[in-house]
Amino acid sequence: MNQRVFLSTTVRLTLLLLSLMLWGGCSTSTVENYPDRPISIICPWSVGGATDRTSRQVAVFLEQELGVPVNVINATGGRGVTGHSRGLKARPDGYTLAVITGELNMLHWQDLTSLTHQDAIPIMSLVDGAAAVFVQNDSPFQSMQEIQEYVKLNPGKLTATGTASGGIWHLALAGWLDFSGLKADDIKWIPMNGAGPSLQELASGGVDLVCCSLPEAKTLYESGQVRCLGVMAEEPLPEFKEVPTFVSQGMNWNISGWNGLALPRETPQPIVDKISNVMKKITSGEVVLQKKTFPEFMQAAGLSTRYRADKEFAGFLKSNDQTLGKLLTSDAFAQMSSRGTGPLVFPGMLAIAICMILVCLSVQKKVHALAPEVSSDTVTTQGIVNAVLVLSGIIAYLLFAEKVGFILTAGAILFLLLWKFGTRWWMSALITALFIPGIYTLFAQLLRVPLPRGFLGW
Amino acid sequence: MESTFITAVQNIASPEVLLVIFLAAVYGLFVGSIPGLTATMAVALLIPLTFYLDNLSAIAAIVTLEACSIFAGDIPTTLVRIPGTPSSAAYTDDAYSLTQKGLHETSLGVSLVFSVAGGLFGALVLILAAPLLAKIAFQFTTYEYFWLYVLGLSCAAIVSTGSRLKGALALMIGLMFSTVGLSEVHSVPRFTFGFDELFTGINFIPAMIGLFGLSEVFRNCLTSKTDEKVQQLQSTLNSEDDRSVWKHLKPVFGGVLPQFWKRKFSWLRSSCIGSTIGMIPGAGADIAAWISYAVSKKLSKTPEEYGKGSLDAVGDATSANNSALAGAWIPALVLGIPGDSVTAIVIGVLLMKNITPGPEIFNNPDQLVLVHGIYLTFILVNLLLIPLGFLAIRSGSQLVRVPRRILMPLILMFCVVGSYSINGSYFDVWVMLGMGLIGFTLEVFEIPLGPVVLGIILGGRLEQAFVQNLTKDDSFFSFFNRPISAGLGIFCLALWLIPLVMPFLRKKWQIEN
Repeated sequence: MNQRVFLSTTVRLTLLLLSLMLWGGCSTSTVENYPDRPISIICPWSVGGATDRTSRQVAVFLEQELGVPVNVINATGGRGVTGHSRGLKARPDGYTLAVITGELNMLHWQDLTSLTHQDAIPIMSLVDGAAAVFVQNDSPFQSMQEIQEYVKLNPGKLTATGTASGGIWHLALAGWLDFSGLKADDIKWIPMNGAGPSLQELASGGVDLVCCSLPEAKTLYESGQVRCLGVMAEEPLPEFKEVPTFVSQGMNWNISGWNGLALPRETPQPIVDKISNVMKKITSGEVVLQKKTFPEFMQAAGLSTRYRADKEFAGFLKSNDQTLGKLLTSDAFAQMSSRGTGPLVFPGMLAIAICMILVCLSVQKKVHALAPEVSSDTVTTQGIVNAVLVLSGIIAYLLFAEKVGFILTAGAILFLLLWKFGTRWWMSALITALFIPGIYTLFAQLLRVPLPRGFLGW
Repeated sequence: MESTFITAVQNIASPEVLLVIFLAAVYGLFVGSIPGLTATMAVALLIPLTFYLDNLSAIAAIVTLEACSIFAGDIPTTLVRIPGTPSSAAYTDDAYSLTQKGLHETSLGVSLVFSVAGGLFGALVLILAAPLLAKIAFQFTTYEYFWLYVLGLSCAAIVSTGSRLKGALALMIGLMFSTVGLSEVHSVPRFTFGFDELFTGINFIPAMIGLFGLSEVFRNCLTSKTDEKVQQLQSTLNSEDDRSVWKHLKPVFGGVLPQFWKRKFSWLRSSCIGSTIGMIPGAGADIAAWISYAVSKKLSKTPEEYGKGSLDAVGDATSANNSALAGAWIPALVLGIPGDSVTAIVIGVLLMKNITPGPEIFNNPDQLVLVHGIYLTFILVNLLLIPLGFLAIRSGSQLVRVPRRILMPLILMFCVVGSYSINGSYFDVWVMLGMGLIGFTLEVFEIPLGPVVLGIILGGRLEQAFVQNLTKDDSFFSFFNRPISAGLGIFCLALWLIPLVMPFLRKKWQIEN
């Protein structure tokens, strides 16, 4: 009885404390003193690639200029759908920045997402890598004309890769074929995830051509293991002057992959202005870090850049969207989409295999061989209650963490579980008080892994 | 050659570099032992710091971090049954069974020593044969990859404890999960039910945490397991009343040296498998661990112990996955092709420092010094891992003494935070939850979980290679038209067909006699 009274007092005290914190928390985070907590950049591509390298470079410079930690989160997969939606659909409070890439102007034409460039507030375009065509070192082809003529005579003989089918480099090559008066699938496109594996496939003799940007192929190109036949840019790239352009080979065909920084729509204007100004300072080389400026860092990394700010970037996005849309919706491209093994072949084969195995197992009468540990003897009522508690704990976290914040949600769940599992309440409270702030410090402060922040900012 | 080597030794012996290595080692052990934080992530977090470090320190930090965190992944695997890295999934059941017998420190000791030995072997291969072996990467096209993935998956199904059919079923379930999401080869979303989050597919790390970690929490809750058994065993081990240093060393290293001597050849074999597979870009420590586990079981005199707490299994698989680590650096340094995600970051860092990986770095004296520095770091780190790993094991082992009513909620918290933090996405927590329930159900039917994990990891790549091959050439015979692909292919088919055909042949043979 006594304990219960004590408990209700603690609950009341906690509530009081909570409301105080709430009040305190609400009053701090405003547009004026932005930023006052860590910022995340959502990068839609995986660690190690060109876009990831750009994002991390931007993060370091932003961190220096804004004075708060800036973390990069790689939300990969789904050909960029995942990352773009997470970046652009984030809470528009300026604490989530999105890195957008050319795929933003492609995915919606392919009905893979409803996101378009209009969901983004463009801040600054960064990398602009023109597509280039590579062959193996001992390939017979010396120029793009030779390839053009060969394909004319032998349609469907050559294979090429560079990215997934329908990706930017595929579009570049298919578009060139279409431009040359050939059919878009006269060169067979082998889907691959990324330029790295594609180039390895090329060097191993698995494909005839690779289409990707020059910086992506820098290591293999400079060591002479692959040759570059041409780059789809108006002028030769400053870092790769020796590579001829398509224009110089008599084909006026230019296309490039790009990335840039953007904010979710509806971000307050003062925040947009602040980020935009800082980015202008960074890209103009005013900010120096370790004796190097941002453009110098990007050049060292071999990334070709084209800095377009705000309106200019918006204009580019619009025209780029139309160019890519025209290509993607053209007959040439639409015809070639479905060929070879369909998307349900592999899962179908698996389903058949599973059925066969289940039949075999039921013939052997092994389906009901239960593990000895879990049987009606060992499972207790208390056990079932506990398991349900664990389950509801996780669901509670999923439902409340985003709004309430990590510390409060996780703290409440941990305390209740410990207490219900039979630890005395003060012991549970003690463990919770030590453990949860500990985890928070460890992850969010030391390891810089963002945890849910909620309305209080923690 | 000699002078650059001496310069490299001098460079690495400078106090700053040593300090960086030490700090990175501690950081690596820390990150590796927390479920959900991976070596790749830790290295990515290190990138901003590398701007401030000189070339050697930057690369040394990455090497150290990687080696230490891969070993540290064995700590949660052994103690709380949450594999720290996907390569630990191969021997999770063995390591955790040993913990339940109270032998967690011995198991971790074996992990540590075999990791170090495997790591050193991998480093030696890197040092002695890097330029020679790098061309292996250029032998692998989509055909070879297809068979390599089939081989890795077959090994997982074949070695699973209990019924082989159930192993195959587990594998198929894993492969089925891998088909969720946007199919990269088709650019068509599958089984996404209109959720944008599902486009990414099922991330294997939250899946792994759920399958192994959360299902264990469920089982402990349901059966209200007591912890007296473990504690008893604990006390018998520590009952001796001696106050020397050996008292602390003994539980960890006591049984290891005889074990190592006994298994020296299998260590050599596993390390060879590990470094060979590590050299192939895109195939890494995970496949290496499974294949060496399978080989180890096939050649073992006590195959029935595998999966139920076999030290041999733990030793062989850990030496394979650690030797694979250095293997991945071979194509990265010599050809500029990343062997895995960590070396992909390394190439980025090198480019940032104006060094272009490729055959040229072996000719440029300045860069050769750096390469030698990398070699030395690999050796140094593995030696440093022994004392640091020991400390990590000793402090981690205290977890086993925590009563389960306290430990289970804490593990649950780590499952949630770990799966959230990998991508900062709530969806991954849902995946973890779902996989926890599935893992629990599968274990009730005695279906092994390891193959499910490998299926999720390799399923996408397997399908991709399959579709790529068929896009290149419609006929199935093209799968055998290159020497290595033919060899691997016939081996894989034999692996599956022989157990099916053998009973008939044996019967026939008996009748004839």
